Amino acid sequence: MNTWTLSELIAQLQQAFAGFLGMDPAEVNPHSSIKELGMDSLTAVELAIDIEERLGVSLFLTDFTGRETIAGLAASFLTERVA
Amino acid sequence: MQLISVLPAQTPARELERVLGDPFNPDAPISFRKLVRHDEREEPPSEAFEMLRASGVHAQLVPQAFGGRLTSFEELLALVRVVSRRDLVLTTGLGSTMLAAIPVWAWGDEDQRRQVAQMLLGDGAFGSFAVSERQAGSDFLATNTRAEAADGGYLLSGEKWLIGNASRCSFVVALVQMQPALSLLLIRPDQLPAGTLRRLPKIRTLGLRGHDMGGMAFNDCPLPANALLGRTGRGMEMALTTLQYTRTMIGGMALGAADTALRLALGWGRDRRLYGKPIRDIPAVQSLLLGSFIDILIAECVTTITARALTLAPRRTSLWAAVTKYLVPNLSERIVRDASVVLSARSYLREGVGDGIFQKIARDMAITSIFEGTQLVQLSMIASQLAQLVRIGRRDGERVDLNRLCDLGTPAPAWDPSSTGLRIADPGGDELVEHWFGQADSSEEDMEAGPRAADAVRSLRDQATALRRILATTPTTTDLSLASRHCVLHAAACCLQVWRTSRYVMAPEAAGGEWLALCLERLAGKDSSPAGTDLDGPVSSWMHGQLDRGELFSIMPFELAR
Repeated sequence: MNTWTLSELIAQLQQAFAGFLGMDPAEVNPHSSIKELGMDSLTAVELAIDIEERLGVSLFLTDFTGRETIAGLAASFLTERVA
Repeated sequence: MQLISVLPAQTPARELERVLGDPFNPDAPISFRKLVRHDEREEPPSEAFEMLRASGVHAQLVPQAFGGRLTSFEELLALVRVVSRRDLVLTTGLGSTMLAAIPVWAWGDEDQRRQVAQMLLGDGAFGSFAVSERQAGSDFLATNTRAEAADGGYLLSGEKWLIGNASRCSFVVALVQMQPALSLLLIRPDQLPAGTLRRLPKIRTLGLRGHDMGGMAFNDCPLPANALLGRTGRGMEMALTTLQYTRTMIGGMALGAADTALRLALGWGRDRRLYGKPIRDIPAVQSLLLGSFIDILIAECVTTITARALTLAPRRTSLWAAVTKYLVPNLSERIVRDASVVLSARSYLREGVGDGIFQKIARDMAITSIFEGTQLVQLSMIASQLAQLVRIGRRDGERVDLNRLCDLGTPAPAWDPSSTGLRIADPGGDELVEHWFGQADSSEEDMEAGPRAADAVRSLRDQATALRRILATTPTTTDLSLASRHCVLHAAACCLQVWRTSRYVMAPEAAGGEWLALCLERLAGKDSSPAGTDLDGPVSSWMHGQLDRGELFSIMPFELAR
């Protein structure tokens, strides 16, 4: 199990999202909603599987509303893991 | 010398076909006359199910590793066609069972697999894949049925509705809300305390009147911890991956039913005489019949390639299964519509030609474009994947070997359930379309299928270029006609690649490539050519030959029961 800090995890997610969005990681604002970043629900689910395979981080985007942010997802992942 | 080959992937289907007998014969074990009678009474064709059970069909749903005879989906597809040409009620019942079994084979633990294998092999049991609910049609996320952790297991409450095999199933795989997200549960109704599961009344439908369509209501239903199937929270991903297998098999269902529709129309066209000649000699009738035959060949190429891809290129089937599920029911519904034009008044009767089976097929066929994701669902999945490809390009370095994929003389490998990954979106693009229509300026490949085929390829290539241009400038998922245009290109590429790789195993009549030219022209939207052209003659006599010899309408010779 990886022991990411919040900022490390955010950076990893930025990179993963950038890969799926065809953007530079620096352009991926971790505080923008996923929808604003241009992601649809099918892509979000695929991305979550990809992140899990590569980073061992289980994100569940099946209740995707589009309002989620990378920073929010990272924080909730770390909270749930501690819990 | 021309060798008529028997493809290994078709062997079980050929055997089953022989056992089931000619459905046009009222005395056959499974006859149209009896099937229509069951339909009239809105009851399941029980003795036909019994016959299938006795023939060992259930073993074809269980992978070899778990004691059954399921190898590749190419092989299963051939079986699905053979049964579906008789009655879609049969394949819908078995298909719903398969739908519930696939996630168990792929992600279940040893005990779960053993339980389900035992029920199928020992009892020929039915299974239910309980996903839909009254308020949640295609929208998985709106699922209301919920399982809470309780006493080391779960407590399940909620209602599943529009569920196949709902009243007769011995096992259920249900999609439920759980922490942290949607999950799958394996439920054994026989092991539940009384009163915690209520089976809802049969739902009355337009077609498939003998199908066990219903629902189930769970009321504080206690389930053991080992009811959880696969990883908690990955239920939607598992369900979407499972559907890729069964959506492909729906192509086989549509193809089987379309075969009977065309068989009835063609037989009628030969026997019915008007104005002093058989009506099949009337150019308008000729053109409808030939068009339907071409549609079957297109649908067959598409479905067969996707079925093979399920074990040869599984990363691609999130896209290709959606394309198949969209395209093949569309083509098959057109075949039924055109057959009804040829049959005219006879298409409206519940007796007479084929003992009245045609009107049943017309009603039953309508389900193929609805269940397991409607046409709009398929198109939006395709659109989303195309948009993603345009946005970020290919993410899968592995290239599919198209020659191996489409070499029908070499059977597709058996499915290895344990290696089934979760696959939601194709990361590699549509290599078939890229290969045949990828570059606007690619040199003409010599397909040895004549100038009209080459013309059609040029036209399709122009269409592909135009589509790529639109997608590049407006990578939108809202205009679903773009996804539909991609499906047409994919179908054309399947026909071309099958022609290139598998000519050596095709029926001798296919060798000239006239059928390919007609498929490509039809897909390119150029089917206004007058009947009786140089291409129509050979293809038309091939079609009539298949009817006269009692063969499946197919690019491969496949003898039917007499």
